[in-house]
Amino acid sequence: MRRLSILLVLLLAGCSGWPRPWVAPYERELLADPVMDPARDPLVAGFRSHVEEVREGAQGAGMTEGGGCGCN
Amino acid sequence: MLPLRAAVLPEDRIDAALHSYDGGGVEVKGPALLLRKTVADRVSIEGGYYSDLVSAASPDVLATASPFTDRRDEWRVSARYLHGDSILHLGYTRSTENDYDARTWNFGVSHEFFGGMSTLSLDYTRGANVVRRSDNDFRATNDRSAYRLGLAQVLSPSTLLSISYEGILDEGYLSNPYRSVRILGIFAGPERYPGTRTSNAIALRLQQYFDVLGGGALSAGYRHFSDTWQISAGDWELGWRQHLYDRWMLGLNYRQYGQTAAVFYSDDFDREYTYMARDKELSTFSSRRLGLTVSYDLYRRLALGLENGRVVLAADWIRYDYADYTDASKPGNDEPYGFDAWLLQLNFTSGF
Repeated sequence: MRRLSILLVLLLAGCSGWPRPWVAPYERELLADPVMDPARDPLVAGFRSHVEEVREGAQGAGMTEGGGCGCN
Repeated sequence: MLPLRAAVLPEDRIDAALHSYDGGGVEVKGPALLLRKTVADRVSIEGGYYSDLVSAASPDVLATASPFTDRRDEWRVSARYLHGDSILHLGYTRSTENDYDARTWNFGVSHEFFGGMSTLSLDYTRGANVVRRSDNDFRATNDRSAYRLGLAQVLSPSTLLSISYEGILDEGYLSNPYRSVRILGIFAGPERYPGTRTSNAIALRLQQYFDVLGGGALSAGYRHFSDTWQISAGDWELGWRQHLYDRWMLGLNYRQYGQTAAVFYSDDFDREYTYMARDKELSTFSSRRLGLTVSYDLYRRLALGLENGRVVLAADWIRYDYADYTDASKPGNDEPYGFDAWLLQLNFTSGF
């Protein structure tokens, strides 16, 4: 019970303020590097996805599609 | 380098590509084009064309029919509208074959928050398709509704995590009007699929930048899929991209996929059932793909405002191994079927 109380106090202390963004916009240069862009060649990725869609029973949530990263 | 802004529209570009697929008695080749242009700073318009010339002599075709050729043309147009930290997206795709017409509408919104570290996206897709047979007046329809939810999260200055979920509802005629089922060794009429299919897929992808030899990145992803036809599938992928010298970039990726069969699939049924399929894409199988992508920067600036031109060559080998599907075009054969496929692509792209 005592351990639980300590854990709750720590959690409340941690939640005293909302977490703040810890990666500033000027620190996202590496994320914008072309090697990190899954949608760099959309026609190439699109044909691979098309072959998978035609040949496989699974569909949706394709991993080759770009999801955006706030780093363009 | 300038600080990176939050929501931005994708860059203006023009792409031209050639693609080919060769495997399992099927050859596909054709061109593709993409044009994307920003107008009035807030709107990005995109247009695309894609064509497949198909020559099919797969075991499926040879077992019950003659080899055939077909052509598919796809036209796509979409627009993105930037408003603050949000981007609205609207798209329409039309695809035609001599026995299949597809119309797809797509609407989506993505929003950046938490200081631009998080991007939440929501998409809705509606498809209306017409299925025909080229040798008689058979005609049927099916519809699709797909809902997609995605979250991309910056974890550190060099790490990115993305999660996406997609739920799909298919309704209508979902069989192939040409394919036959086999009962006690004899082909005995067309497939019969249920009229509805509900699918769920969830995918996770992690990307990590490494400051080695001019810069490289590791990507790792996993997707799980299940549907009401009792297909359960999983695939994982590992990839590495590497800058080389000033102008080159190399990419190597490996993907493994496996699935269980639909509950109404059989290579050879013991009697007639309400629902029956003999589509190898609904059988139990696994596949492996190994791909190499080489990119070479042609120019930074060129005449007529063209910039950042490059050429990309991609080659993929895929191996398919089926557990409960046999090549019925060979009489008396009871060996599980398998084949190798090759994908080759050449892509030119330029900004402007």
